[in-house]
Amino acid sequence: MEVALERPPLLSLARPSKPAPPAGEVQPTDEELLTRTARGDGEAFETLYRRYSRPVLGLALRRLRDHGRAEDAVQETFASIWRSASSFRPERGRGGPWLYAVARNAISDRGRARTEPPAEAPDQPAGGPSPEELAEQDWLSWRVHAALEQLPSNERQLIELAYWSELSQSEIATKVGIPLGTVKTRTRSALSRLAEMLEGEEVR
Amino acid sequence: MTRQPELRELVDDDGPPEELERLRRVHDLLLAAGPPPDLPRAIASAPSLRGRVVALPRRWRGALASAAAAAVFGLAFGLGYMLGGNDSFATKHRVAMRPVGSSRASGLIDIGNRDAGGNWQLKVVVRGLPRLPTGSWYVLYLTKHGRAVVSCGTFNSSGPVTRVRMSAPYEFGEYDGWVVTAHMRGEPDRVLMTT
Repeated sequence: MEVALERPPLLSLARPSKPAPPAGEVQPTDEELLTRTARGDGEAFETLYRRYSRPVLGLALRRLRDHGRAEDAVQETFASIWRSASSFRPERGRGGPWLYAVARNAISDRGRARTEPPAEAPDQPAGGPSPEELAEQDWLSWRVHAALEQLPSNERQLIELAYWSELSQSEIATKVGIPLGTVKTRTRSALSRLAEMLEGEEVR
Repeated sequence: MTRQPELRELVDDDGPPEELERLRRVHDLLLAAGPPPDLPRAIASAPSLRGRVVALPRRWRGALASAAAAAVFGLAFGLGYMLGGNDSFATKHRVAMRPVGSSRASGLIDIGNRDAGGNWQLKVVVRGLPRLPTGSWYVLYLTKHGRAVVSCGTFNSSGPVTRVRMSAPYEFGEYDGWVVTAHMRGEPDRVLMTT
């Protein structure tokens, strides 16, 4: 009864059903979403899912090194968020680090529950990054990926193409079907938005 | 990934130096973070957490999707209602089970009182479970986050309708559903019914 998972290529991602809001729309903060989720607000929970499912999957893939288990960890993380959102206290800290801690715990549980060997052997040769460095990298990727998900979809698309598709700006303009100048303007706008979001997420 | 973009390729270098430095920091963070993973279609949507069964493991998701849920659910409930509840067992809660995949089984779990030892009394009525080969059995599991985590008991079936009594010490509020699986030697467990 194993279900074959279709794996779309990078940048033709399976997006959650509702796209990111258009530019200019004020988005609820993580803290607001968690507070609403604690009251049983399904829409707030879905917004959290759209915002954090890829960061959670990324973290799970780095920790578990197995796609199937990582997907299960994503599901478990969000089940845990739904169940424990009422324990979030905005006065004690921001939502991002709280969600990160929930994800980390769910992924650790998944790792401990492992009953068969991972698909790939752990890749930690002598001289590799220390646990602290790995944790720092996890946190950095989490923050950046979560911020990316809050960009308007047209800006996020350009950032992903610019950084991870190996296309030049001219090629991106052709691919997306907009003038080169617009590509540069939107890219700058996206970087500026990301800076604003990431400057406010320094505390873990 | 062999080519990393230069910031000056991405944005014109006009503007105040502090703004360009700000963009530079974000640029470096993006390069350090690497690409976010693709989100597989199987988990593209938030799990439904209002239903009884959530976040089923991958091997169950496809089977559940093909279940003819609504019609059979009603049939199972009605059938179970007729078959159950005609003895002294004091039913406090009743949970219907519906078939998964190609299974045609249905069932009903009646939850009674706790006994003196703190165990919940369960009465399970199932219909349509085939007789299993010798050395095989069915298992009723409680699920958590869609995963079968604790067994409430095992049983076999020898006719169209099977009634079994079980007891379980668990706090049911901590779980999100039940499944019945078939355990057969040398084969992976199969889920036949779920709530």
